[in-house]
Amino acid sequence: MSWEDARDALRKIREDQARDGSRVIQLWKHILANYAHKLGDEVWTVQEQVTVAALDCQNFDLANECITSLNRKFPNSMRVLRLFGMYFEAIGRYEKATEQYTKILEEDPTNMFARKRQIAILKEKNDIPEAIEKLNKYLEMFMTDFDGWMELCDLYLQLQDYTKAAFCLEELIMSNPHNHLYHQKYAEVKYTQGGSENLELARSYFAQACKLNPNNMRAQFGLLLTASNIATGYSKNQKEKNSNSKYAVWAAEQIIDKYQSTQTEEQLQDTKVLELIKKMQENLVPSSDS
Amino acid sequence: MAELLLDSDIRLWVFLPIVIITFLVGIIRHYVTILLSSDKKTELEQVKDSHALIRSRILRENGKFIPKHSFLTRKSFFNHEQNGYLTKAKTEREAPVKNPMTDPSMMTDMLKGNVTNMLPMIVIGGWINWAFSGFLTTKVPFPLTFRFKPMLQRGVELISLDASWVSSASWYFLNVFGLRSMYTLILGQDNAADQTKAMQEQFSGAGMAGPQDPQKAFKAEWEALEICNHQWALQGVEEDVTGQIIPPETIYIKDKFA
Repeated sequence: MSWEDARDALRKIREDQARDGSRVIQLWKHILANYAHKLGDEVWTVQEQVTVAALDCQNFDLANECITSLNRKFPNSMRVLRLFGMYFEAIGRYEKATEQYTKILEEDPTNMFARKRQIAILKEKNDIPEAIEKLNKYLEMFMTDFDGWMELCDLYLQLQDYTKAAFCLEELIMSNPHNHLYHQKYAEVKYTQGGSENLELARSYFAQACKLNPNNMRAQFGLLLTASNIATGYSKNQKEKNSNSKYAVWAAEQIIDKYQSTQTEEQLQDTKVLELIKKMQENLVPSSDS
Repeated sequence: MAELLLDSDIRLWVFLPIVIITFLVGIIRHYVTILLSSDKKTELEQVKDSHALIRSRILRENGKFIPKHSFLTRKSFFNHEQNGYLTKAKTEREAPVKNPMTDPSMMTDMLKGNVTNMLPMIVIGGWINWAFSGFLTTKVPFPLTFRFKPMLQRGVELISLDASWVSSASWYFLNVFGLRSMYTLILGQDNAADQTKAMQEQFSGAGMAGPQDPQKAFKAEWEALEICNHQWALQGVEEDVTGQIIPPETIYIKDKFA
């Protein structure tokens, strides 16, 4: 691999925001470190990338080396400060890291990165309630940071605060209504909450996820479970019961179809799922006939 | 009409110097602008406001994908009669009509803009006019109508001259506007050497307007959200996805104006 290829590979990783620390370090150590002078001004961006990758891989010597050289080049830079902060975070000295981030925020209160790192420190310390509070304050200011909403949703799910997690997911659905995973996750949260209204919402959103991506098995299982639950437990009248069991039967058929088309005979014999589903189906079909 | 013949010294001492001078001035301008530029500080409040506006717009556009109750919760957050974010913002947030005379940072910004844009334009243009006036420098290789004369033959007022001849002053202006792609080639995309952009800004007044009035933006957003209704997009999606006949009560809009 020539150094140009390595440079392009690193560029690609940067653009895709992929988090492949070990590969970055490999590329840097074995190829690019000897050609650093050929990179021109790009070398600083690359070094920043390598620093983060090194911290991801607990390679503190390499990280230290890069930060030092960056610090020599840009003595008062915020980006170097934030790398220092991340370094202290990685070695577990949270007070020192917080100090760096506070310094950045004093200079530039709109620095989203430093704020998010502070929340990350709280999460590292496993202080979830405090992290949630901080993240809420952060989102009050940066309302369209959807990664932030996603993080908040996960934190609430850790505390099993489903109503609030659902709120965050609604925000995410609005940010990108074509992402089936958001719909599926929202449906799962609603399904976990339970109750007839929530179950019906969950059914709709599972169905939407199936519609957006017909290969989403998880959503199809979800649709099967919600619909059959509504059909057997929560239906108000016969008509509702019938339509719900219809959905459940459809989802079951889809799932069986998927299993049969992708698995071999022996695998199919090992999987008990199909029998289970067939049993569920049998329970449902008579009710729709009656 | 007899064909005009230009002295080859004109090519060496007028035509090429004008090209080189305009080009180098552009390059110098680029670096001077970089030297003088001060990065603008963004206020936390401004960032917050712009995020809120974007979120409200997303709510209007994609609100149909979330349940009605959730939509109304968010709408009330923005547009509640007393405590809504937008309601408050559109009445309380006073417009920061910054007087450029009282805000020194704005003054210096304006001055810098003028120093780097207008000053070289005037000085170099004047100098070129003075040093190289009255030459015909080149000829465009196609015939032009009489109306192009004031554009291409500034400084040479000869009625009988063919319109495709270009005078030195006009050649300078052609260079000023025509070297843009050269700068992009050499200095990269966002270079400051290009004068045309700065001039457009100055003529349209956009460069002077400064930050737009946030109050107006809030009011427009508030109105747009106020008339926005919730129509759940997932109505009947189960029937749709299971490929069955959609029962009419889910197709027809039951209460359109709810």
